[in-house]
Amino acid sequence: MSAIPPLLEIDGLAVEFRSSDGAVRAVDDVSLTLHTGEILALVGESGSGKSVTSLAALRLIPDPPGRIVCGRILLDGVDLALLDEPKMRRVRGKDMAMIFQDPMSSLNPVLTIGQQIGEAIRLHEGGGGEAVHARIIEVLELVRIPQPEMRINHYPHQLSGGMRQRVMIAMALSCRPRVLIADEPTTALDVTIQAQILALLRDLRERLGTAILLITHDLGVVAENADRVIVLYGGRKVEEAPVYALILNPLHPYTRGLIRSMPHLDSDLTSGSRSRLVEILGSVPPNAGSLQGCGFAARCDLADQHCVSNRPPLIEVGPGRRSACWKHDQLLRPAA
Amino acid sequence: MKQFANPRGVIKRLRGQPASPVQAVSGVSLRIAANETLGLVGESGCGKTTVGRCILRLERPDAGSIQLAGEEISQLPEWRLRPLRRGLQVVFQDPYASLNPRLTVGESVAEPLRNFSSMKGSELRDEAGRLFERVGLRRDHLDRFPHEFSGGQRQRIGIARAIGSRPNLIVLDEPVSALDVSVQAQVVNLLMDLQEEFRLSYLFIAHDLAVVRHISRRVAVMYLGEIVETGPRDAVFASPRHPYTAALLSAAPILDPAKRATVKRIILAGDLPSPSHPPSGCRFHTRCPFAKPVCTTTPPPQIETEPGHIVACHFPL
Repeated sequence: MSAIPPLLEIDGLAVEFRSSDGAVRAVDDVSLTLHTGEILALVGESGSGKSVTSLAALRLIPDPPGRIVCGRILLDGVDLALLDEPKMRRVRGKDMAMIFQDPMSSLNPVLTIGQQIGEAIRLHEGGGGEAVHARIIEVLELVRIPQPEMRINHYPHQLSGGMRQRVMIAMALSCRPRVLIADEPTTALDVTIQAQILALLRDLRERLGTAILLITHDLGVVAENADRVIVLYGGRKVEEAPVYALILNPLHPYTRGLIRSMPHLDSDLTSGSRSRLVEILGSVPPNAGSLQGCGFAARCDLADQHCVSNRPPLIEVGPGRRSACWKHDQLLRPAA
Repeated sequence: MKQFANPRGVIKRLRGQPASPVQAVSGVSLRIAANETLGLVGESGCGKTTVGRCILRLERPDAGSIQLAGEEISQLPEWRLRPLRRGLQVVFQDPYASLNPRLTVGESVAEPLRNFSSMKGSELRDEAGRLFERVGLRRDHLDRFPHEFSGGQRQRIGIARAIGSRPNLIVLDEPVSALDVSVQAQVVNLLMDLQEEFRLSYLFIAHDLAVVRHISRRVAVMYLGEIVETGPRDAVFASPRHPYTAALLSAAPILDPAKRATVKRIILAGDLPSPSHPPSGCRFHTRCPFAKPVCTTTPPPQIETEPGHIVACHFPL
């Protein structure tokens, strides 16, 4: 990405949660840039900080117990971290919107989908009656919901999972935000519906130039939809790369471990044998974000004492590539 | 080849809110051999969980036969079933809901031992400890409560509980879908190791095709209450004969860009029809890219395209 300034830029974000046991850093020094028409995937497992990062970007972290400790969230140059709530409310849904993982628990069960989609339009653009109705139909057609004139009066429980997710996308897009944050948008959906929803998101990127921050733990979804990927572990960024480069030659042991531990539909399994998946031993330590050394060291087959005592910096390891690993050069594949 | 669960022509009708009953499972026939894993795949609402529950007799089928090691169990009263349950255990999907929060995990794991063996007191506790360690947990955590463990650990506890009575068949209903990728790998490996060690049979119910492919020897695919295809794993995955199976496989994301370029994506139109009003003829015809007039009027025959590979389709691929 060249001289065009990014649409969304998160710079050195840190988010803390306070509890009776002290404060935990859920996100520590995370930075990212997102350009118009780009799909950036934020990948990580439970506790990686990926959802907290996106909620922080929309200033949806409840305070207390959460708190943005430091960092900037620049949307078109304006730092959202500094905005008061009334100003932030004008941004949410209008310039930047979010679709959540579980559409059933994110949609209001007692409002029709027309009422819910209309809410955002009325809030950000005013107007009423016919004009709003027309906009609602337009956005339902955009997300390819069949028979929108009928569906507009339906309640969430009358729709299937895939349809509900489309309604969520419609709600998020109703005011044409330039940035869409999709938090695990297809995890709760069947694979054939997942394919439809992801195709829709790609289509929106093509037609509207919407920039999408795609949060997921599924590397397969990443491989097929993202342009670039950021991998988070224990609240910290451990790798960043263009998608194919990351998948074909990961430069962080955690990324490599994730790829290896996934069963692949196309892997070679010797007929009748029981081949084991390559595991990442152990589990994420709860304080990974606060450790002095590398948060992954305890589980890493390349780690040594230096790794345990010294936190590796995120450094440039190739064009558009960054890795936070003292041993990343051991993972480099020789050029074909 | 000893056969374990052998549900034949099982039909299960559920009474739902609308006046028409929903036929959750219709005419399902399966066979699971000793020390074998049969993967049962399909999307939400296809009836795979209901099949599992019927085999476990957590539901009583409305018609059909279920034979466990030759013994017909489909209509047995509960008191006759009870001793047979020793050989038939279950691992559920939700590691948070399937452990009694008021029992220590040691007590949960010991429950089948208490029910099906004469072990008592310290012998029971020792065996629970051994099971715990076998699944990779620490014996000194036996007196903790479920909420003190992570999802992956709770799933291991559920597995320890399932193997305690040395069952022949374990029904696993989405055992790893709620887990992170790296934890999934650990649990899948554990299940495979245990199968080897205790000569277990598994009915592995899941929607994640890659996981099913990894662990199963044979696979059955369900759609709207019926089985559309059954066969050896490699045959079904490499050469699916039913259009639905092909669509399912083509919808799964593939990591390697070079390999992905060779897969033709079949994106199914529309949504799943309502199970209370299944389509006429072949239930899949409303979404099938290859449907012909006969498909709308006549239920498809079962065709054996290769030995052991059976597909319910008028025009197998």
